[in-house]
Amino acid sequence: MTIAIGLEGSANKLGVGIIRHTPSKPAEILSNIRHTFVSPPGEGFLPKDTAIHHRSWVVKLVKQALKESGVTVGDVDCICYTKGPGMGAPLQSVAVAARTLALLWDKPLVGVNHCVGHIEMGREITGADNPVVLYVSGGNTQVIAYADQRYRIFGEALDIAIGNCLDRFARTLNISNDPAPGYNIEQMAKKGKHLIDIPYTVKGMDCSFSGILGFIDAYAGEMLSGTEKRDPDTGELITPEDLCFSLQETAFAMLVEITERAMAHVGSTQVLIVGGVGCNERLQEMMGIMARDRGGSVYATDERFCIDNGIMIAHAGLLAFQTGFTTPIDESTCTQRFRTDEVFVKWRD
Amino acid sequence: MAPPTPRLIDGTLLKQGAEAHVYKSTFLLPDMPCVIKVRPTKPYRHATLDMRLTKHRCVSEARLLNRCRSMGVPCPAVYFVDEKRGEIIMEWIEGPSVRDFLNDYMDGNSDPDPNQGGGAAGTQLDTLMQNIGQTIGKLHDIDIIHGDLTTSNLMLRHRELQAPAIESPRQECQGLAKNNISTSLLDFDVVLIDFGLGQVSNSDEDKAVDLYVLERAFLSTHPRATRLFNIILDSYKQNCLSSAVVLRRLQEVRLRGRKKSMIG
Amino acid sequence: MPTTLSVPHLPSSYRLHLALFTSVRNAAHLHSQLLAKNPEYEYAFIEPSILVSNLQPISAGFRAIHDLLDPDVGLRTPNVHSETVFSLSPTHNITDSYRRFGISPSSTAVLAIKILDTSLASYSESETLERLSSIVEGTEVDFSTEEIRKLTDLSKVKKYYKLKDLGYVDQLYKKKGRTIEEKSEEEGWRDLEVAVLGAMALRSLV
Repeated sequence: MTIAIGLEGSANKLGVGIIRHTPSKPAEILSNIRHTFVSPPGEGFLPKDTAIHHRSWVVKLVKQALKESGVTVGDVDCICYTKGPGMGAPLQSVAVAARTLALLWDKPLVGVNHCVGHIEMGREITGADNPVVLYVSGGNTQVIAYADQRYRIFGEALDIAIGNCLDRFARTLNISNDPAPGYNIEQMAKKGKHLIDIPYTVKGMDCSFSGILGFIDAYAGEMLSGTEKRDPDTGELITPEDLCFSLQETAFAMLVEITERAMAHVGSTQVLIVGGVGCNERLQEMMGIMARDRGGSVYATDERFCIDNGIMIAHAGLLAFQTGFTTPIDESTCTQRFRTDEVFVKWRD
Repeated sequence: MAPPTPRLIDGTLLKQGAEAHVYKSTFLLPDMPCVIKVRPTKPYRHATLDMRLTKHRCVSEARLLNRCRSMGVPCPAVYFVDEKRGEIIMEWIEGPSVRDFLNDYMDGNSDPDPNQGGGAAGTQLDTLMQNIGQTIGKLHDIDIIHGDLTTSNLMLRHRELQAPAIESPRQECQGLAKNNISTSLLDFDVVLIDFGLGQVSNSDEDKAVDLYVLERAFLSTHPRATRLFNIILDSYKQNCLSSAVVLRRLQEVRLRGRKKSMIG
Repeated sequence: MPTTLSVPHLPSSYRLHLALFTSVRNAAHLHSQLLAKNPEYEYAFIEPSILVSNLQPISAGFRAIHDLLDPDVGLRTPNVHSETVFSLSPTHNITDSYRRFGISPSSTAVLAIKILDTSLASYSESETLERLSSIVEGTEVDFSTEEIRKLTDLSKVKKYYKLKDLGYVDQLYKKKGRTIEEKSEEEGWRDLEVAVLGAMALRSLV
């Protein structure tokens, strides 16, 4: 039986989680709490402000997590933290906190790849054994499949991430960042009904979102400056809700398409969606229809695990720790760039 | 009584790919084999978008195939198009895909490590890689981007065996990897298939991304074959007229893919 | 002897009856009967110098029957025979297609095609073939690629099917001083044939 505490802060969420692994039993989540830095509408979160947020909350969150979990410092076997990828300043502030705890409590450190954290937590929660993984967040858009001890990237966004595309579009339309811009786009999209023609860019198993963003930003800009846009078939006015709807329908169709191509390529029928955008129910629904058509199914988690969190870092860190992996203090750096396929996955067959 | 209607889709379902279903059938004559490629509707996407994509890809694929084939890049000829239903009847290409061939080769050949080269079989394999580079070079020299270059979309066709009878099994080619590699491989052309994501473009960026797609597909499908991929690039460099700028651009595309900013 | 074919994917009762003639003496008469819309002369009379193989007219016949039977498509010309001539065209211009691919008063060779639904009670195979063999006054030869290629006018084919880019890559590389493996004559014909079939197939996409 081993227990790990995980600290995540690669973007605007600070998360702390505590997990217990017992051989041949599912992992137990002892606590999983999060505090999000929310920027005002029309603004993104800046690294400096986000780092300040993480620094001022990390002690409170660690204390609360310990309290909720009912474990004592003595029970903890290792301290896991996000090594990358992510934004530099927030990553650093959390790495410093993790190092401090390691020295203070005299515990080994485990640096974790954020993306691998998402994948392992998704597998644990859903029971998806060997799925094709679609990892979609503010910073990443990757189609991943496991082979030979690595999570290999079969396809990805060649420019900006899907979450980034949604966030920036939300800013153009002045959509609130509370609780998350993508969530608010999703709610608005439910009321949209006209599909406008948006560039659709898929290249093999890769895709591109900058063309979409440029197009829909310009379109929204014209609308906001008073140009009336109408649906060519019905003559009805195009609303901001229609834009959200069209953006989702188009961008998600691209994601489902590249995922399906990867599934056909590796011969898998399971698909697991992880990352913040993975909470989107329309994306899950579309993916589900595709997977069913291929005789398989889609696995997704709710916002506790989809959105960046501490428990996934604790979980993936503990998997590595159990194979003997630790990160010495003087190597406990963090890095903005850390490819998913750089991690040697010793804990899987 | 309603008049009988033509039925394009028949024959044997060969492949149910991500985007299309592929049948083997006959065209015009009972002994003239053909491929029927059908793009079924994708219920997961909005009906309007689905129709737009299906029609666009069908039309675009037919045009690209025709352009390639007549300009001299090996690919299936187009026989018939029903763009409303997203169906294309095209020339049958006899032969294994490069993907199947390489997998068979890796499984069946204990002899040379693909990354070592050397040996008669190794040299033949190098020639195959050179042919691939040359064919992609030709494609880019007529300003066509394939859009989905994978080893599954590269076929090996025997030069003498181009239009076999419909019943002719594929064994001849499948056995190739394991047995007569040293005598047979030189007689094969590399044929490009599946232009559903292709486009006409003279941009270095588009050509570089085309190569990048192949690189990633190649190395994720055949992780042990890095050396072989480099032969493809070398051959592309030597054959394609605009290779210098494209390969420079490829470096940038690689960096972009691997070092994307996370800043939201 | 005329050739009779049913074509894969089409109802098997639909048959193409084809006969190829050289040394034709009554082209002007046949042409005038077409203009007069004489139902006795409802045939596809094709100018064989624009053909490169037997597949080309069969493909045109396939297309015509297909479009006739497909309720979403339908014919663009008066009947399945005029449609067969039109189906040889790579463009939508119907008048041009008759002029270029159909018989002219001065034609000295003709490919005659009769398309019939053989399940109809009025159908008689022997009458159909007899009439097909006699309607054109000339020497009937085998409906084969070999015979057709004796009649092909390459420059006309390349012009009508806009094939100036045929084999473009090799030409380009040759210009750059590379040695290019010469294609065999048969390969050349095959390239031409599929280029023509492709141009016909893409008519609807022009």
